[in-house]
Amino acid sequence: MSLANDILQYVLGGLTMGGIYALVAVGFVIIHNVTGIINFAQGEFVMMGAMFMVTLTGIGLPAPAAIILSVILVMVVVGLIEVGAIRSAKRASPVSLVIITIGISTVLRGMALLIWGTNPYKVAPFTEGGPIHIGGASIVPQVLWVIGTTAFVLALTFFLFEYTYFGKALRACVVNKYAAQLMGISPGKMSFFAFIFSAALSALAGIVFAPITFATYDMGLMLGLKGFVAAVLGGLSSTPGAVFGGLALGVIESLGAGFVSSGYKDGIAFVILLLVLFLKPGGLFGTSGSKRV
Amino acid sequence: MLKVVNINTYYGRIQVLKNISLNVEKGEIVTIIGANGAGKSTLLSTIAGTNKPKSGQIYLSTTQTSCLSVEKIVRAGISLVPEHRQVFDSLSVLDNLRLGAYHRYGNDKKTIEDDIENIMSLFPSLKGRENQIAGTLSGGEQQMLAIGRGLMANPKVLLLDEPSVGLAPLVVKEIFDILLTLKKRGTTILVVEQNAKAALQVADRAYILERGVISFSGKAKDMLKDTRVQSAYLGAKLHA
Ligand SMILES: Nc1ncnc2c1ncn2[C@@H]1O[C@H](COP(=O)(O)OP(=O)(O)O)[C@@H](O)[C@H]1O
Ligand SMILES: [Mg+2]
Repeated sequence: MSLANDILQYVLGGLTMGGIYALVAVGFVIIHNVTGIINFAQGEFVMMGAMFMVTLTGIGLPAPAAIILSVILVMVVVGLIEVGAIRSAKRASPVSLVIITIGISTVLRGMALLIWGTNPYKVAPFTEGGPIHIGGASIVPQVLWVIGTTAFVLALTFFLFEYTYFGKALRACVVNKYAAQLMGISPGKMSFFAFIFSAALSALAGIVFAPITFATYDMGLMLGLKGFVAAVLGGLSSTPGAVFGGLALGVIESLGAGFVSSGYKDGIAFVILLLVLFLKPGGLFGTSGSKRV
Repeated sequence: MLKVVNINTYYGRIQVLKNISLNVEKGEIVTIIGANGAGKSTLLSTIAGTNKPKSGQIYLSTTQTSCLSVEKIVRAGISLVPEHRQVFDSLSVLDNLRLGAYHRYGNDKKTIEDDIENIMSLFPSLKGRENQIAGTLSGGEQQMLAIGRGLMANPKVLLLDEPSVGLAPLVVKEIFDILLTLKKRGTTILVVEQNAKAALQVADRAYILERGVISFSGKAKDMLKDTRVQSAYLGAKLHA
């Protein structure tokens, strides 16, 4: 195995993880932009997606039906949370709301523990077949699902915000909530939408990721934090920034784990987080102030 | 058309509006003159529903709006062009105008594009800039866009919060001329100003707001001649 092959292998692995991080990070950004909240329950949305997938495929549902149903279930749970826990506390300060999301994440993890226990679960890949060889590297077919889903969902998000009237209304709410309200745009409705849309992204991340990892009740903790690091890397209010942050984090982690030691894999994310917060608190692109969805 | 009865509005424990009553008849331009901090913006935001009065009522025709949500008030026919314009600065001029029609977008999608045409003919300086990003417009153009966006809601009453602030005298004149054009077309307008002279020249009637209390009201023409108004609001402007 040559060095070039190793690098290719690590980069492909990194892009796969990076796609997952990017989906989670975009979820962070959408909620943050629309509501001002940093939602620390984002990782738990990913976990729920994976776990519902485990259960639904476990009872014999075909993959496509299980995927759709899992996404819908996560959206319903998150919709209830938004109405029950976030909206009813609307008068609370943003800091209190962030703390509420930490509470929500703990509750969701606790409930997952009760329902699914501590066992790791395996979900069958969406398509059968052995590894695919690309140059000197080889990947499992599920990786293509991850990358394809990421690309598709991000394109859909872009289309929604750039080309639809509803997306424009959502952006109006982001750039000037007060003026948006004066147009009759309800911030409550937009917040609800931001939560369930972001839930769908995270659920999808969990669902496509489940076949290449073990799904556990506490998988959301690490994924949530990595997604957060990716979002911060991209400046926390930019969707393209979050995508870049996710992919960059995935690749750096993978190269670091490959060439240095896999023991440092998770540490790398936090070193990056600290470096960004110290050196470029506005994110790598340093667009301080200007929000983008 | 618009009737405000004994409004009291607070920020926390601080009372900003004290027993305010006023009315605006259909087709009128009414202005509220007041110094900085008098409570003009608070009064408009109370009418628009983003602030809730502790007591008192607001009626639009026969509908009591003071108990409605902001969205419902917009739908009922009150549209506020806020202080400092507040256009959606990363969106295009066209998108800003379309979003002004948010509350009726589902129902009259057809007429909305015609209405945009109308707005464009009202504000020639916006013509040809449909796809420009609103944040890159000049102050005067942003004010015109903000007014156009407010009009896109098809309001029964248009509220304007200090449309002249920070603009060159020529642009101020242009904007107040547009208010007169709107009046001719039948729009009912309530405009709040520190620039008393400009406002009194176009208004039919005026109220003077001083520290949350309406101290004085009357015909705009008479106000321009009134010595108390001249010394307090017009003299200062003339020497400024
Ligand atoms: N959000 C707020 N919280 C507390 N006090 C406020 C707030 N907005 C305005 N005020 C106070 O209310 C008074 C009236 O303000 P405002 O309505 O903005 O006056 P104007 O528009 O006439 O300049 C001022 O004393 C101001 O300091
Ligand atoms: Mg004001």
